[in-house]
Amino acid sequence: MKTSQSTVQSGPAAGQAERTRSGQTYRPNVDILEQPEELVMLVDLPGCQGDQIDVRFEDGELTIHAPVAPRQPAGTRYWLREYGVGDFYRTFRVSEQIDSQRMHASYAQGVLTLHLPKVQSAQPRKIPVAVGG
Amino acid sequence: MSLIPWKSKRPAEDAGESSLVDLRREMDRLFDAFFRSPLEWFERGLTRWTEAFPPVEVSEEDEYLLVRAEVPGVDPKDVELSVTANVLAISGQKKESREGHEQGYLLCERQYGTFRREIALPVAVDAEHVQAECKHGVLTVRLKKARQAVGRRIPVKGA
Repeated sequence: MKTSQSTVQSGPAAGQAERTRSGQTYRPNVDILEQPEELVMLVDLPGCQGDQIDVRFEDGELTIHAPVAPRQPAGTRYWLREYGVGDFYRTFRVSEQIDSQRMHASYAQGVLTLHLPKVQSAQPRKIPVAVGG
Repeated sequence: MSLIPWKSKRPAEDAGESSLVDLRREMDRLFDAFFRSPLEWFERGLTRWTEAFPPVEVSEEDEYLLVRAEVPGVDPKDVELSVTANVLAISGQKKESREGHEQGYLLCERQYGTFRREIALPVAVDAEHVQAECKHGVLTVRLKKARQAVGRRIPVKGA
């Protein structure tokens, strides 16, 4: 595994809860893959509604906020709880040049897939060498 | 189904020591969580964090036990359940969703591979009456309590 702090920076480890203005949120697990033309992020967001996931990219900061409704009525009798249920929230600093107009995302099986296309100038380009006669 | 070892991106521990190391890590985490936010720690009550996949939640209704598990990225077709009176086994596979992996990861926190968990049920259930669904990465298993496990209201006659 290669960890590049220079391209994408994130906060503390995943899975931990943190408090924000809007109450307690959870930090989702994330994979980020670098491809020649784009960065692809896979974000584990179990139990969300796809159309309520809010992804913003502004000044090189990517913010993911996914509301999660309670799954159990208040007063539920629990025997075991290994995870908390609440909104997911995470921010990243992306230094790679991203073409925000072409960003797109999809949500399936509890996973958000986010495509961050690089701007043309950030893509590796093969420069043809003209051979003179 | 071919078995793919469960992969964690954390450094591999010596096999013989892993359970102790896990326990130690778990304790460290609980310790940290307590001191970081004692209020939150108490609010959670029964919540305990685990490295095991998938994390589960067991709750109880009058006639049913409800087992939920967070399985993001797992195709419902790849989940297998088996039930005895007192144990629910959840097994399956979380496939890596992209080809050309191992290279080009800038960040890798999600885990994948095969998994299996056996969850001890707090009351006996009727293995014939189990319903399961998997939606948006959340598996919900509804198990009917065995008849003898459901509390019965007993009328008390006056003299």
